[in-house]
Amino acid sequence: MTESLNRRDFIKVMGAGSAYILVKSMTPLGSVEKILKVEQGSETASGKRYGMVIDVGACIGCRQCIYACKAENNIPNDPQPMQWIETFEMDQSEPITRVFSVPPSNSKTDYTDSPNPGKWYMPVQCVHCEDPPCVKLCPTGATFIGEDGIVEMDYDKCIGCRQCMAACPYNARSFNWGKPELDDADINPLVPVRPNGVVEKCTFCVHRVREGRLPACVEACPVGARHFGDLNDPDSTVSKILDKYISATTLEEMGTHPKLFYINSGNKWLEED
Amino acid sequence: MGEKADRIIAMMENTGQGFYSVVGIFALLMVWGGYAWYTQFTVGMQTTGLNDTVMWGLYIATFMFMIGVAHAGIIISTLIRSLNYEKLKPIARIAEIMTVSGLAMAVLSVVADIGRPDRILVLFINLRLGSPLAWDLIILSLYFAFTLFYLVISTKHDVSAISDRFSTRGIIYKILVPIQNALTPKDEHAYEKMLRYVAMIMVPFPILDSGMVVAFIFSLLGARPAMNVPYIGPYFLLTALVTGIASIVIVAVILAKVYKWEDMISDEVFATLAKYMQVGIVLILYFIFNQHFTFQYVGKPAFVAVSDLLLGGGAYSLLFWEMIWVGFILPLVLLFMPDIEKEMVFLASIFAVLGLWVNCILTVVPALTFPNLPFIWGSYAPTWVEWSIIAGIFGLGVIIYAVLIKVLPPVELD
Ligand code: SF4
Repeated sequence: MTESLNRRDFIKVMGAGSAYILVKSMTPLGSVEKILKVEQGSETASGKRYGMVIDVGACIGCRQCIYACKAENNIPNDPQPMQWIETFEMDQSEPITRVFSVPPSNSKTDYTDSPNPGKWYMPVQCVHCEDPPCVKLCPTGATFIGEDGIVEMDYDKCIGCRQCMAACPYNARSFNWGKPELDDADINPLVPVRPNGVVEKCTFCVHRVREGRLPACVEACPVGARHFGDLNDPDSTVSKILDKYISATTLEEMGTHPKLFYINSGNKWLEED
Repeated sequence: MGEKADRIIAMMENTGQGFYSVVGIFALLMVWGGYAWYTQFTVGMQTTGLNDTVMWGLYIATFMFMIGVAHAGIIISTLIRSLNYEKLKPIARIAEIMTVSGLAMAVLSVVADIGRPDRILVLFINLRLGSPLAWDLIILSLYFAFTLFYLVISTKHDVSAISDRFSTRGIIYKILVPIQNALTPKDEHAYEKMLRYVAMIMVPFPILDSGMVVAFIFSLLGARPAMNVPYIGPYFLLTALVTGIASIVIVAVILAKVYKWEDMISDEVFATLAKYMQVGIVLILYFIFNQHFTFQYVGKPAFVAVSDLLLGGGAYSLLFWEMIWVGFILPLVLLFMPDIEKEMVFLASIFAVLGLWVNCILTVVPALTFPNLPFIWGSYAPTWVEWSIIAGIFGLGVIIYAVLIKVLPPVELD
């Protein structure tokens, strides 16, 4: 009697357990738990949750962040030029949160001088989603969520299937279509030089921020349009800014919950025009 | 054994000039493809037309297509065993062997696509079960294993009948016969039952493959709205089944002509397959119409963009309309001709196969050209490296097929 009961219990537990494991493995980010909780994804292993705020009212489109990022992170120009950050020159009529405009909008990345009247500037990069589709789809775990919420890359595990690139709504990922060519003198020893055939993207300068420094792009911005910090800490710069201003993220309808926010502190230079 | 069996065995025994020259040509193709692949591997994937916007192209499309070719065996054995279409029996083996080479070509197409094929081991060690690619790997391995297993056990009688007739090839049979005996029961009745069960286990595989895991690679991409639609699974299944049938027709007609098996593989076989193709192609056109009608009527930018690119004036519209007229409507007309002969079915299948391959390309590429943010729209044109690798893979597939029909009787002997 007891034996059979035990066995039945055992089978039940096993059944429930394997169903749970199955569901868990298919929703590797633990979305099940997230759904049950009111607040989404604010928990990380280290308690920190890094995020960035870009002030598009202040941004003058000077591309200093792009250059600093390239130098800091050993991003090659050869065999193909690569960027982790891109800056759009946008029409005044164009909103931040947008999907597709058909035909293509007047926004462009190849403007030569800036700022221009009637335009505003929007830098884009990896937004470090709370729910990153790239991490969900990667077959090896080469891209993963780090202890502080940063979406990281393990270049040794990447097999170059590019599933993550297809999955990324922000086109934030770049593939090494050849072996990166860098001058030895230019190499930053803190950042690994990528091999041929793997994917890479913005790391929020993980090697700097974990040492308490700011990401290279934040430091380089001449007008202070970029802010970085711990979203879980109510006293951090980013938390305070997000308290003060209305903010937006890009492509919200994709359900990715970015940790890169955009604010407009008041159209600083547009008003002068 | 009868006169037919003698003819099959004679075909296996007498390997003529023609056979060697065909294999030779495809071997050259393979070597050329190997060279292209070596270039791609050493220089990097900059040798392809792929880029950061359109990161998948010909390779992935060919993978989809070859999975369809690989369904050939299952389609025929399902028709024979569950629907009792005994008259299709003569082409059962022809179709089953196609599954083997189709799967080989599918796997190679993926290997050609990944940036670090040397890290295959890394993939196995770190395999994450949450990734659709992992599901593909698992389901396709099972599929491959079952196909080989079925081929090995179902050829037991044939192999033991011919095992002592060949000298050089004899070594293969010396290995094969004990394996077959070990795997299958002695009792004839039990053996038949086993064959039936294994064939039955395999029936759901097309749904699992094309209908689910292969489709999931695309349909789970939330970032690509035009791919992220629920009908992709059923649609892939449909196109894959038609691909399977059309490719059996092509191979069976060639073999029947070359080896003069017209009396064994009757025109009735092809007439039956033609009927399935008719239904299949009509359904494909129905899917395509519904897709574009919904996209255009609702007018959401992400969908209209892809639809416009295909339908009107876009970079892919020429290819799209060629696919519709030459790849689908022309074969349909040919197949609906009265008193259809196998030559006509063959011609229709050639057009249909080309159309279906283009269809795979057009499923993958246009949906990737549109970035969600205001980046410049992507474009993609395959390079010689990609064409050569695909040609090489095709060459290898043909060679695998040619070798297998010299080892396993391509038509059942009894
Ligand atoms: S390309 Fe690399 S990081 Fe991206 S999904 Fe494939 S293995 Fe993962």
